[in-house]
Amino acid sequence: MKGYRLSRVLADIGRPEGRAAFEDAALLRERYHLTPAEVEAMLTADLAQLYALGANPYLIRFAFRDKYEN
Amino acid sequence: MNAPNFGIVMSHAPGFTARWDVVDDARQATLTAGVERARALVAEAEPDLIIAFVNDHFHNFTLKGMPPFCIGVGDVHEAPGAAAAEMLRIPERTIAGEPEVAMQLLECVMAAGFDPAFSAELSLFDDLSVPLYKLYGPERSLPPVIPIVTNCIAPPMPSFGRCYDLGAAIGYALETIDAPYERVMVLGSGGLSHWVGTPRTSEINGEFDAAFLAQMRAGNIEEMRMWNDVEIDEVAGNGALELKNWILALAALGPFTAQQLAYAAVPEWLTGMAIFAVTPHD
Repeated sequence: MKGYRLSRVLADIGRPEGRAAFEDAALLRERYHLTPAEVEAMLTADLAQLYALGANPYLIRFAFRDKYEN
Repeated sequence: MNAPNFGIVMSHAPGFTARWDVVDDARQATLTAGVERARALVAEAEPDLIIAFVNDHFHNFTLKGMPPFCIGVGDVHEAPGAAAAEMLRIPERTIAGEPEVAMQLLECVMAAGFDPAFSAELSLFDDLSVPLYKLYGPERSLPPVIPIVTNCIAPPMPSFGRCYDLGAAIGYALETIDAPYERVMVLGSGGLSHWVGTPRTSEINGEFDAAFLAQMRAGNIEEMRMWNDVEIDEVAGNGALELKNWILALAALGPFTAQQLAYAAVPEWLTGMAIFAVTPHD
């Protein structure tokens, strides 16, 4: 399923205050098996790229709520 | 028991309760008038049971398990639970369910060829909590509520046509269930156009909303039955797929007359916000 691993990370993050615990490239690679492109998108908070890589947009919104103007 | 005799279909958004102040006076007035009218019509209808068509936002179901449909068969439901209440800025509330009717409803629709999941422990977010708060306020007691949760957020989802068919089956089933409810209200929650978490977040398609509102006022959802998820996602956003909750509610009601109570485009809450009251006709 496209984007499942990313979506799983985002679901585990939950709300933005939980995000700090996931700003760890090794954890994203080893526990969640993210690809280099997925790790990069997560660590740089590239929301458009996360979406392009197949992450569920609702989960992007919840985990990165603080990055949106509205 | 009787078939549904009244309905409200309306948009939901966390901002409707949590970020009211970011909206200008004109749109606040439009939405306040619509809510007050809807609240008065609900009070007049005095529903003794609510069938609520809502959608989960990953609060109950995850990608580990995502049912197309799920009937809430619990004695009670959280609407909202503690964490959601904090986000929505409304009081935490536990509302009564109707497990006996919900189980009969489940059996009826399964006999009719549908296979929804069921859950005795649902915690509902803005999809149910915000409409109930707006329609009843914090003070009025609620009748029992049977939530029917549809997957509107994680593709592949049940089609609009399938939702129509299930809604119609639910409306028919309600008439056949032996229970002492006479005034059954349907609630359909979600939409209108909006994008959530995509690069188009905060966009609203006013043309789509206007065309849909016109179809609603005409009581015509034939075109809606044919809607395709990919096309609706493109034209009106992934959030517009929540209109599946509307078609479920409207199909349960049968042929209907609709009264538009409010519409305002509210990009600050990401959503085209609409409220309709609907009543069945022959």
